[in-house]
Amino acid sequence: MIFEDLNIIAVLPEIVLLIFTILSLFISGVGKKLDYDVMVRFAGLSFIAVIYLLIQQDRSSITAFTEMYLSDAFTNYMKIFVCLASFLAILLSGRYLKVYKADRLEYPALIMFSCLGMMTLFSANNLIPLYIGLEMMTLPIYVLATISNDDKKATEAGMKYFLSGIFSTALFLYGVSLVYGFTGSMGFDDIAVTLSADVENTYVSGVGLGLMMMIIGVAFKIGVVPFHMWVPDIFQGASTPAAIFFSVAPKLTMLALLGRLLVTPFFEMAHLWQGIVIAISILSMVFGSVAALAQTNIKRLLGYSAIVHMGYALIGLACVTEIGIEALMVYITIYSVTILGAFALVLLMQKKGVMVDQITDLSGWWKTRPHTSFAFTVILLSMAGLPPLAGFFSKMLILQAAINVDLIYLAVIGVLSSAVAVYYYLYVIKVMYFDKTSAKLDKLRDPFILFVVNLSAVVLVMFPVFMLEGLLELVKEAVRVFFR
Amino acid sequence: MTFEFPILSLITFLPIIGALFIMIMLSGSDKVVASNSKAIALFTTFATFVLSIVMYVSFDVTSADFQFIEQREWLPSFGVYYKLGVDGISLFFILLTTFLGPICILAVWKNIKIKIHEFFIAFLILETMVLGAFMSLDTILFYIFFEAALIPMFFIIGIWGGAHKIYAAMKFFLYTFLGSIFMLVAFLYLANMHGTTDIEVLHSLDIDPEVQKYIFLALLASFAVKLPIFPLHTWLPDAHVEAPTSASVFLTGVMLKMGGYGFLRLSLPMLPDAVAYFTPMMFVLAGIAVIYTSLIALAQKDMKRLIAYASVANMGYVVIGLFAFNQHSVEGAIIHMLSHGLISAGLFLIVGMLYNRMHNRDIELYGGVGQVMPKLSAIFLLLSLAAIGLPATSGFVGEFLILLGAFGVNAYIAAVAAFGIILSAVYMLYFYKRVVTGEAVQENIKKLKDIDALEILMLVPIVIVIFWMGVRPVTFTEAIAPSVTKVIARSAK
Repeated sequence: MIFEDLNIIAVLPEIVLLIFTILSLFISGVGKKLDYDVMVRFAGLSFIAVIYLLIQQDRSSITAFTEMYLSDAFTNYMKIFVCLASFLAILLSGRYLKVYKADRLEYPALIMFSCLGMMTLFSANNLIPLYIGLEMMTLPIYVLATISNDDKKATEAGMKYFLSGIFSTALFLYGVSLVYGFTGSMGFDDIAVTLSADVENTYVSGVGLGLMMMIIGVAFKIGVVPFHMWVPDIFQGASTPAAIFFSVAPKLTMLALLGRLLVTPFFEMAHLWQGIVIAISILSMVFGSVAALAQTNIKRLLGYSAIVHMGYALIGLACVTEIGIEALMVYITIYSVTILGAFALVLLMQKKGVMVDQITDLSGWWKTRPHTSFAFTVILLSMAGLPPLAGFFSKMLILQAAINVDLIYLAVIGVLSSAVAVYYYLYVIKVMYFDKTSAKLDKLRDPFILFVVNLSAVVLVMFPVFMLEGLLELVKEAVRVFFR
Repeated sequence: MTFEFPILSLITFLPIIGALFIMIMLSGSDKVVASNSKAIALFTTFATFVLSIVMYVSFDVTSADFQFIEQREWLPSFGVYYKLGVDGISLFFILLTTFLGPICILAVWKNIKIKIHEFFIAFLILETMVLGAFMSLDTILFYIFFEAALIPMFFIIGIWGGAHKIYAAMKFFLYTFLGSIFMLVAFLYLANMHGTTDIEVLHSLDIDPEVQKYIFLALLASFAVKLPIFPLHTWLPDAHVEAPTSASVFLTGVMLKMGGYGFLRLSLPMLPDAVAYFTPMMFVLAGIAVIYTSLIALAQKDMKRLIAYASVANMGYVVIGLFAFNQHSVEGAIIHMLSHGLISAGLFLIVGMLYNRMHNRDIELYGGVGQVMPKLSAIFLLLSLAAIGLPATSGFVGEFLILLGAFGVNAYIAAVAAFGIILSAVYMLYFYKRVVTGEAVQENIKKLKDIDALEILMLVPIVIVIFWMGVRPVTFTEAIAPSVTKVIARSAK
């Protein structure tokens, strides 16, 4: 019967999220006088339900919808991660959207849709649901980026993101069509079988071209050099709450997706894509760290630093080994904690109720808010990769993976770029601590934001001693499904 | 010898526990907070010192092995262990660190006005990291402590430093960081090739000579900046000059020695073929350092800068001693590091005391201090003579042993080192003459008050140890010798 292949139970979390999202949209349309916080609470409830379902989910590999949908340890890990990130992004957006006059009731629903798209993306075992998930993820984000009504910068940022986004999706789709044309199927398992059976390499040129298109399409979305042009602009221009969401979720989703794509169906073509990934990685690390040196705007700085970090994470991918992908995933996880904390902190930068984002606006912050600036220091130093913080360990994992496959020059370039990068992190610390002048920032006491900032700082410090082993075990279990 | 009681971990982490205490007890007015934190900081550093004496007393001086070893699994998937241990080489570096700890706390007792409790937090964290680096027997653990020490020092220089503090702090951090990351790559490479990060195990391995050269260079990048070795020394004068007194004392007394310790613990025993191969180059660099920086010291007008360059010259002797690689020269290098740590610390304290009174470090504005500050001048003279290497002071023991050992290996470099000693006499005595001797002409000099009880309390222990080392060095050499013999035994046949 048709229902046997459907296996709806495996898809339960997505269905629940879908129902809640539609309900949220419905309420926002009908209840025009509702307070924004009601929507936030509703979204929060739905995410709690979804995350609960995900944790309960069986982690063995199950397929549904006639093998178009896959659920295993990897998808489980990434979905919980993405739902948590979306949850936090919604909770953090709260009153700050009011500052931007962007507190539209649909905002949480948009994030929920995007999250749903990401979950579909992870579970895709076939190129078509992959594409569906991709679109479902990015379309709401275009809206999110522009949602600040009166701000020209936001509109410009949104336009840039939109245009580069649809361009990259088009490239991706073209690549998909080529792959289908040459291998005759869309399912990942079938593609893998076809490619490994292809002894005479008749498909290589066609599939190779298609794969390259797909990689470029995804690279655009991750925001790595040379497809990074939109990143600094969108980080700076979009409202900070929106920036929180799409600095964490979409980029890292795409990165994990690239990991899955390149390892499972296209593993046979590793000799083709490894070079591309290495090249992108080197360019991102080098260019990103140098470009960041000149920045004066903190959000833009975080944007360039994101490029560098993505480049670093790609080293893990370029290793094509189990430790490489493990390193990639640990790096993603720790980086998300850091960037969430950093952006939450940027939310605190207000002068007389207006959001400010120049680095110099932080000057002398140590004197007025010693605890918060200390937390920010921890976050920045973790981004710089300094021991004994968590960022160092994620970096070390990546370097170890690279050295393991004799890509020593890549490791050396990586450490050199981090030596350059450490300057701009120190510069922010210097402005906070050493500058004599004091740009008087409002002393906001939002408990939730402070909680997020302090929590990330604590996690980054405590992580190596208490949590690293636990995380590594989870990640190992997730990665094992790739190399069965 | 495995010790049941984790004394090494206790010594290492006691300072940071003190820092946590200070962080928690921040309630009350500024004055209350300041005095509370002073008390906690002093108590903590003193307790750490006492603990390290306890460890010293229980130390078996006849054994060359690591003692009080603590080993715990930390990150099994990396193969990284939490492993601490002490041998003759690290024993006195640890004691030097804990000895200078309380002295540094006392040095800021009255001098820092802004946010003194934060200074203590930073300093205590720094002390923990440095102690951890000296005790660590796992390469990655060593790297973590080594690098982590940079952060508090960066803050100390940048917040409480002098006029060009930001430049100095940045330069210090970036320079040292850049050097050290190569060390990380080298450690990961070794872990990958030989499957271990355990220093004891790495000592016993035979590493391919060609690989050794690359690893040596990677480690050299790190230690040459830290020690420092010409031409990677340019961060040092700026850092020393701009740092507050305590930080200069700790920096010169202890942190520089981490570079020398790195050579002793890692490069020399692990990479004997590379050491033999690069010895000529190291001799040349050290020789240039000695002569060149001594001459620069002679030309300095800023007191702290003079002593800073003198430090670089002294580290040149240490390099010569290490790379001559025989029993006498290596022992001499270690003694010299300890002795220089004490002497330079004392000299920086003296300069700090003068600066607190005159608010100026320009030598030309001084002269005739001896007339109004006899006690200070006396101690100053003792320290200067120790710096020159007068017999009966520690300076002599170190320099003599180094020359003794180096002459047999390469007479030229020993001659250069001996000449450097003459130059040190020139710049030190010239410095002393300009500041202390002569008539006290200027009004502000005449009004200077001599050092008080607190300042004497800081200086006298240092002087006592300097003379102890000079008159009865065997107390120190007997503990160091067995471990040095073990390292020498690894030298390339």
